[in-house]
Amino acid sequence: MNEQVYCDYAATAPLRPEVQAALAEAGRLEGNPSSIHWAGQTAKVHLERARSSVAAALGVEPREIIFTSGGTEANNTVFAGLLQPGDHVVTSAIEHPCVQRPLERLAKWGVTFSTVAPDATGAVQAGDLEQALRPETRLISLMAVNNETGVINDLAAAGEMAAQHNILFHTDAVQALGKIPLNAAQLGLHFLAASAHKIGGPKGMGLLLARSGTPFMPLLAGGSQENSHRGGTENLAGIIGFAKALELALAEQEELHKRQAAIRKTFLATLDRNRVHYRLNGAGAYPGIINIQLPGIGGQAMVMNMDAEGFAISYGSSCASGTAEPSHVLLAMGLTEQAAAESIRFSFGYGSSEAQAEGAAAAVSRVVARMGQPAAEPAVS
Amino acid sequence: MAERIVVAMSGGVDSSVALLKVLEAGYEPIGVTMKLWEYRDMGGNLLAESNCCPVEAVNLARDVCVSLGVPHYTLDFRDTFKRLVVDDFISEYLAGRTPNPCVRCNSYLKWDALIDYADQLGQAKIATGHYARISTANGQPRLLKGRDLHKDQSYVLWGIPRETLQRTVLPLGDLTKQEVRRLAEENGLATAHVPDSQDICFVADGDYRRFLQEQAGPQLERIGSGDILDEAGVVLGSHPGYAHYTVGQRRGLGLSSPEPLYVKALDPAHNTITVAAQQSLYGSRCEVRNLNWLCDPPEGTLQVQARIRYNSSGAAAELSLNGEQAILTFTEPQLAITAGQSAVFYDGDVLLGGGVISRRLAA
Repeated sequence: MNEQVYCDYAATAPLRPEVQAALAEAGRLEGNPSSIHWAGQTAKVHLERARSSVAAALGVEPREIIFTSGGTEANNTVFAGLLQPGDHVVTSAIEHPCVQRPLERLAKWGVTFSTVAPDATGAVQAGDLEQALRPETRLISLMAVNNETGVINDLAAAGEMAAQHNILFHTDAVQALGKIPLNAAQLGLHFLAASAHKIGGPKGMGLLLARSGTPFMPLLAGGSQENSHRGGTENLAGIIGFAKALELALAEQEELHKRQAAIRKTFLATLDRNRVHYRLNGAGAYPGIINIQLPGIGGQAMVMNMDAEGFAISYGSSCASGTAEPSHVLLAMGLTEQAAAESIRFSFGYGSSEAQAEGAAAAVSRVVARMGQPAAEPAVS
Repeated sequence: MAERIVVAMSGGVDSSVALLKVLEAGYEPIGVTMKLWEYRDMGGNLLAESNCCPVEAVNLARDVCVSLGVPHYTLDFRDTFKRLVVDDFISEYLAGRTPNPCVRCNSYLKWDALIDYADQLGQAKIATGHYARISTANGQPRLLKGRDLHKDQSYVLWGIPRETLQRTVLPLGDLTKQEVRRLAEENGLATAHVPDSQDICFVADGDYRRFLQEQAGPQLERIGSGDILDEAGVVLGSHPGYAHYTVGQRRGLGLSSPEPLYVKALDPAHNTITVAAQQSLYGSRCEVRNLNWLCDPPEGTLQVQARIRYNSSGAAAELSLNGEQAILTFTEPQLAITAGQSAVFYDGDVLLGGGVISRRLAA
């Protein structure tokens, strides 16, 4: 059995041991934070301490943090809770499905939206978003860091443009939280969605940052939890675990960024040294996400061969149900279907090392040498 | 280092036990489930007992693999399956023939496509849960009937490429269905009690007329209704379109007659169907095309046991070869020789080859 090396942090990061400990401890809190007795009071104190900690990390007030079941719920909350028939939204072609699908659904109920393509580097430019504005544009939605390429969008420029036009600004920051600085006020953001498990927190836990003064309806109507923005008894352990994971991520954000840059350099240098023919997808990416095309090598088969070598990596937007559509992100950047089908993603995180990256790149070299070129994908055979 | 083998996992008990057997034999298996069809678009009664919900099937296949410490992948073959199996299924019915989609699926998906994938995984072997055997004689691998003749599935394997036999492992060939179930139970496999699949996988309710209506409604509309004729050409009634019928069919004719009448022939050119009494459906000769051989291709004339449908045990026949086609002449007349069905030739237990019946010939 080969040593198992995890290189899929953009899919999810392993739970950090400190978070696991915090979850276990939080599991002992027996009360419902909404109860008025001693048990409820203790639970409520821990809930609000976690909220304050997260709010401070993001430079906003605690009441502006709404805990959710994840990034998907947070994004859905913004669209469903804010948009009315007749409203128009400007978004990008590289968004995650949890932004694209809710907008498509709202389009059936009278909301319209425009999808702006990225440039060849994979980034979406504020000027291109501005071109798509209409008099009825209510919201601009632009992701912070793309989950497939790692490309970082210039949120500050987009936020400034949105402010000039007096339009609300939302970002899906699931891949950005804890990895790059995110100050909602400085970036001109009204809404920010994030999730805990990409930074070593628990799965099924997320947040919506909603600036004061931008009223919206709850997606999950119910009790008055979360300042009446989200009904349902709070996932207290999850929230405490999320706060712990964010605290740890921010404490080492700069150090991790440097280490990720070194990991990226080592990874690509190893491919170069082994004369692997590859193309890097996306420029100016967060260093921890490396998306490469290996011409002539099917991405799906590559993932399986790397799996057999012990390396967990991913292929485009392949999902558990087994459909392997070419990545909409790579297609939007101008890659051909063939090139997109030959692209794979490595993503590193807090537990990764340069030695692991070197090992992963060496494994790519071995597999490519063994598979030879070209090899056909079943879908096009 | 153990030899790598790709095991086609359907989520049923047979392929699960096939995986178990190759593990026991010392291979390094990789389980794959082929996503062939968008089942939520399939229509029909998905609650019928014979169905195994395909999302559950993938989950079951994965469960078995993970519990045995084997990697599992779901591969997307929807385009290939639609193009080579489903579209052909529809066009064959529209041409008045009765197709064997399972034969095409085995040839083009379970073998060709799987071998392609196995190539990419380091020239791995492949294994499936079919009840058939591969044995070597004079250095050449041959395909044999499964030991359990009630379960034998060699009939649907005549079209696989001969050169893949040496890379193919059929671990269930010597087992009975009861033994397979027992092995699955003893090993606590999640699929131990999954019911056997029935009918055609993409027509889960077995109602192929409903399927055709949904997939080829406009074509059926254009065909429209036509006449039911007797053998003398006398009009006995009308039918809603020849594509709704298959040779040998008795039900759905709406005729009253002193003796039962069966569909004897379909005529797509005139949109007629001809019905006759059962004894008139017996015939001795047919033409076979699209031949494939799993032995050294024979020439001239040979004596074989021929099966012309999945559930037949075979009958003595003479096969007369002429290039791309062959004439099959049975010693005893056979009921309802049907164009589009596979004719498969055996020498005892050894499957020699097969082809597709292109037309029935007069004796």
